[in-house]
This record gives sequence, structure tokens and C-alpha cells, in this order.
Amino acid sequence: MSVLSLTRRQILAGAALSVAALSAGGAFAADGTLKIGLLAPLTGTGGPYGKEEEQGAKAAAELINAAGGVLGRKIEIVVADDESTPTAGVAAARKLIDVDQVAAITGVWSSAVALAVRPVALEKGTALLVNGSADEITQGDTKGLVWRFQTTGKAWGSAFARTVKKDGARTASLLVLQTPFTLSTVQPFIDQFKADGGEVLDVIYFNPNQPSYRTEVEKVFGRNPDAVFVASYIPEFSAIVKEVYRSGYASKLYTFSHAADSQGKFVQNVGKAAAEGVNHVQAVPVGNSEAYKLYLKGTGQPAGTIVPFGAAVFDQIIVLALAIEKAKSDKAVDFARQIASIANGPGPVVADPAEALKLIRAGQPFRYSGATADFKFTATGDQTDLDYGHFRVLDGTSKLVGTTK
Amino acid sequence: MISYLIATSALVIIAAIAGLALNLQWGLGGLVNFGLFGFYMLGAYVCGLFSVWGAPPLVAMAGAIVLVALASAATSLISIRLSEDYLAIVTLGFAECLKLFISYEEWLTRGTLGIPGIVRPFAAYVPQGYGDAAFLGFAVLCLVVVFAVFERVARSPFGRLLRASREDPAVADTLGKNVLVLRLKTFALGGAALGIAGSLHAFYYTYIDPTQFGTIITAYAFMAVVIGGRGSNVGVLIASFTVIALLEGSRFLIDVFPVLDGSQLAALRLFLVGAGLVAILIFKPDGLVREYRLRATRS
Repeated sequence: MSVLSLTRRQILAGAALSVAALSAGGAFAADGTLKIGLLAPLTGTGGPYGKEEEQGAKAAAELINAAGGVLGRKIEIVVADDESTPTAGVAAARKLIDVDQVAAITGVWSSAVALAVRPVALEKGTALLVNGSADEITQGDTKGLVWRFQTTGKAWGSAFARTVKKDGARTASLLVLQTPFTLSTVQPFIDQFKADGGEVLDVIYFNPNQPSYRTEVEKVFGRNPDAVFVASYIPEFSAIVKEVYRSGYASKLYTFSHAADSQGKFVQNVGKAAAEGVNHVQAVPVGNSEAYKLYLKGTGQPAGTIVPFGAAVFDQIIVLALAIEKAKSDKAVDFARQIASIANGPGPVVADPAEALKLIRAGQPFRYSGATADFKFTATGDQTDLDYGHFRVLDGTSKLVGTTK
Repeated sequence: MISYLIATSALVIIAAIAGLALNLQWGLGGLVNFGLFGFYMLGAYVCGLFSVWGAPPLVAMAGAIVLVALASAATSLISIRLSEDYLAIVTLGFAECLKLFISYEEWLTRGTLGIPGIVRPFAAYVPQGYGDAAFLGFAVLCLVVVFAVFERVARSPFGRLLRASREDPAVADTLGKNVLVLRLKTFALGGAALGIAGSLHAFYYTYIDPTQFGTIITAYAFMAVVIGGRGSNVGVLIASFTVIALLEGSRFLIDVFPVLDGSQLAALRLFLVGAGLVAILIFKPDGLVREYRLRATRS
């Protein structure tokens, strides 16, 4: 028997004690604040986007708190890691809902996590504000609690098809990561591209975390399509671009802005030479709206940085705060009803949350124009009326080269 | 807080049932099943699909138990030629293939979109707000049944034979025991338990998709068996609680260390979970509880 040996009672007691001690810390945390949960992908496949979400949420909370908070209370952001997997996401969401008693859960990045958390949020009556694009997230009975701060997969798909066509491509192929979000962009792309007279050569699917993407790249680029739409995230897209660059294929590449920019991470990953000429598309005015400037200032980032997910979470916190102030209630069933009216108006356009809060308190009409885009909401919780910006990476930075509906 | 503890306890129960299944196959039988998560996933999908096709939850669960037991028994047949590391590789391969099948065969499984709206057992009779508590009760009942059966098996002549074949299958064979049939039965029995665990997973989340199932489930089961003490069912129960307590309890670090930001804590948390598990094995290298041994009574 070693001197260091513990009995199993001691280990068990230790485990129980740590749970009890830690949970006590949670339950008796600072009162009098209004808690909003941020379920961010801090580790796992969404890892590259977790930190920008947290910064966006905190910047928005600071702006609101500086303007006097909501209902006379300060906003507190409670962060939880969903590890980019649905099971860990549900466990973290339950902690946010049951222990921290947050009014809403924001920032849900992965569509798979959003779909898994949704039944829990609906059962407990917590508002759910997501970044995920899979169409299914807002389908069915959401009790008015689920709001998407992101383009739907369907709208993404046709926006890409139009951009690619406008760029002069006659043939296109798709290289698609196997996730609910990216899959939902495929059929709309094909339909739109064909309707505009284009021809789709191949649709190839791949799995995340593959050791190599060589087979897929050769299959798609070997037929020399004019354009290739790569529906994926930053880790896979970086690997694919390196592979394409090494093999010297000439097809133009198109992807989401969160895969080909996101604080310049993509160019860092692959180098300026490989990134040259890569196209990315994103609902605008992400680059230059008033609210976006506030967001960049709040997070200490230089002008011109493109951070779609961070800005989306920024919008979520602002819209939530305004909706709560307008509803005069921190109960999700009450304030969720106001979310659409914050973005849809009627009234003059306002980008500064402090000004918007003043107008609400004075009972004046207005509509909030977001940092990510000048979005409006449909009754089902999807964004509509979006313009899509077409960016191109030139000499290591993204330049806006056109817009499309 | 109480509803959080109830929900987390349900996770402990599910992990414990998966751990018990592995303890039977690997702890007692020496059959390395790295593909555990595949059988678990099969259980969840069979139960989920039957459920959304309109079968009552308990019928869906029974279907999952039977099908996973059969699939598991069929897989054990490869142990005719393979054992130890090779069996581990093949079972892992089976599980990964199954995951790809489920991800791509959208006509059957809805692919990566997953299956929403799975109905829990007795949902119609449970008053609003008590769903999780009722589910926990049902899960505990399942655990009691699995534990009782497996404990009985471990203390029976069958369990003795299983341990003998773990130590040296050739000796068991030479003594006239059919090792292949023994392994077939062990895999089937373990598979049935994984069918239960998978069904409970589907009922707990009410939504399943392929990304919920990965090698991490196999890893948790191995952690439960290794920490609990290989061969000991009681050990597995205690270890499942310890593993989930580490995983979930560490989520509260964020409230204790507000200085660090979320992404730093997230990385630190996963690191601490690993360190905690290593520490337990340093202090208790043989696990928490010794396996059952028949003792001769001394006069």
C-alpha cells in the first residue's frame, strides 16, 4: 500500500464535495443582475469562433450597462462551453438554465447543438438565439422563443449561386462538409445556378477531421469547373485551399466569410499566396454599418476586420436587451414577442443601443439596424431582406467587390 | 439547481449502464470492445426511429435491446480469428462504419439533420415540469435491472468461466468449454445493456444526430471500468459517478474564477478533467473496488 493511497470513500466524498462547493458558488453569485447565457463553441470544431463570440457578447453588455442597463439592472453574460458537440451543449445549456437561471441562451454556433438544445429551451421557456443556419432550427412549433441571427441555409445557397454566376462562371462544383448547416445550402445553390443557366458538375461530400482532403480535391478540381463552392468552416477550408494551391488548380474558390476571413485567421493559416483570389460571401453591411463600428470599437479591433459570428452575438445581446426593456419583463414569453419589432420597426433607423434605449423609455418608435446586417425578422424567427456582399482576398486582406440580393 | 442535479444524475445512470456493459465484455471477458459507441448509437437510433414511426416508447426500447444484442453477437463472431488488439480495431471499424452509414443514408436516418421529437416513456402520465424526474426514476429502474442481472452473472459459474477465458482461452478450451459460444453470449448480453443505454440516451435528449456519438463514449466507459476496478460492477457504479462529477462539476469553475475568460477556462477545464482522472489512477492503480472472487471457506 502506497502512502499516497486514497480510499474510495475519500475519492467519492471529494467528488461530491467539489460538486457541492462549486454549485454553491453558482447559486449565490452576484444578485440583482440580469443574466444572459452565452453557449459558445470555446473548444472543438467551432473553437476558432468561440472567443470572438465571447468578446462580442461582452462588448454589447458593456454598451448596454453604460447606458443604464435594462429594467434598471446590469446585464451579466454567463459563458458556457458547448465543446462544439450536442451532448456537451445540452449539459452546458442545462447549467445555464437551471443553475444560473438565464433569461436567454445566445451564441449557439453549431446547428447540431442548436437542434439538441432546442427541446430543453422550449420546455423550460428560455429564449434561444442562434448563429446556426440549418433550416430545421426555426421549423415547427418554436413557441416564438427561437430566433436566428444568421442567414438560413436556403438563402445562403441561392446567394452563392447568384454571386458565382455574376462572376462569370458557367460550370460549378460543390465540395460540402457533412453538417446540417452546410448540407442545407446545397440544393438551393443547385436550383438557383441551373435556373440562371449554369451547369453543376459535381457535388462531393466530406467529413470533418479528415487527415487529408486530397481525394476530394482531385475529384472536384480535376474536371476544371469555373467555380467551386466549398461549404465548410475555417479548419477544413484552410486545408482544402492549401491542397488546391499545391496542385495548381485554376478554378475559383467561393466560401462563407466566416471560413475565409474571421479576423484574418484564414490568411494566417494558408499564407498570402494561397489565399489570393479566394472569394467569400456574407450578408452585409458587415463591413461598414454604424453598429458594426461600435462593435469593432468595443472589442478593440481595427477597422476593416470581418468577424461575422462575433458581430452576430453582439447583435443578439443588443436586440435582447432592447426587447427586454420594451417588454418591461425579463420573462422569455414576454420579451421574445418584442424581438421582431426591435428589428422590423416601424420608425427611424437607429444603430446606437444607448439611443435606442432612450427611445424605448420615451415610448418613441424606431428600428435597430444590426452590426452584421440590416436585417428584419419573419414571424418564424428567420432573418429576411438581406443583401449579400461578395468579398475577395487580395494581397492578404478582404475587399468588397460587389453585392447581390 | 435541483432540476440540474436530476438531469445530471440521468447522465450518470446512462454512463453507468454503458460502463457495466463494457465491464462484462472487457472487465470479465477480456474482449476489448472499442466499438462500444457504435452499439450505443445503434441502440439510440433504433429506439429513436421506432419511436418517431409511431411505436410506443417501451416497444421502441425493446426493439433497440433485441437488435443491438443481435448485432453485437454477430460482431463477436469475428473473435474466432481475432482477439485483443485486433478485435479492438475491428470493433472500432464497425462503429465508425455505422456512424458513416447513419450520416449518409438520409432516406432512413435523416443523416446529419438527426431525429427530433423522440417521445419519452410514460410522457403522457407525467405532470408538466416533472418530466426529468420521471425519466430519472425510469433510468434508475433500468440500472437496477442491469446491475442485478450482471452481478448475478458475475457470481455464477458462467462468470467464473468468463474470467477463466479472459486469463487463458486455450485452457478453457482444453477443459471442454466452448469459448466462442461463451463470447457470443457475452457480447449479446453486453449489447442488450448498450441497447438500454442508447435508448435512454435517445429519451433523455429527445433529439439524436450522428455527432452526439463518438469515441468519447467508448472512452468514458473505459474510464468507468478502469477507475472502478476491472471486473467490479460496484466499482463501475462509483466510477461513473466520479467521471460525470468531474466533467460536470468542472463547469462551475467559471463561477469560481471570474478572472479568467471563458475560452481560457474551457481549455483549462478539459485539462483538469484529464489531470483528475490521472490522479485517481496514480492513487488507486487497481481501481476503486476489487472484482468478485469466490472464496473457499476455511475451517
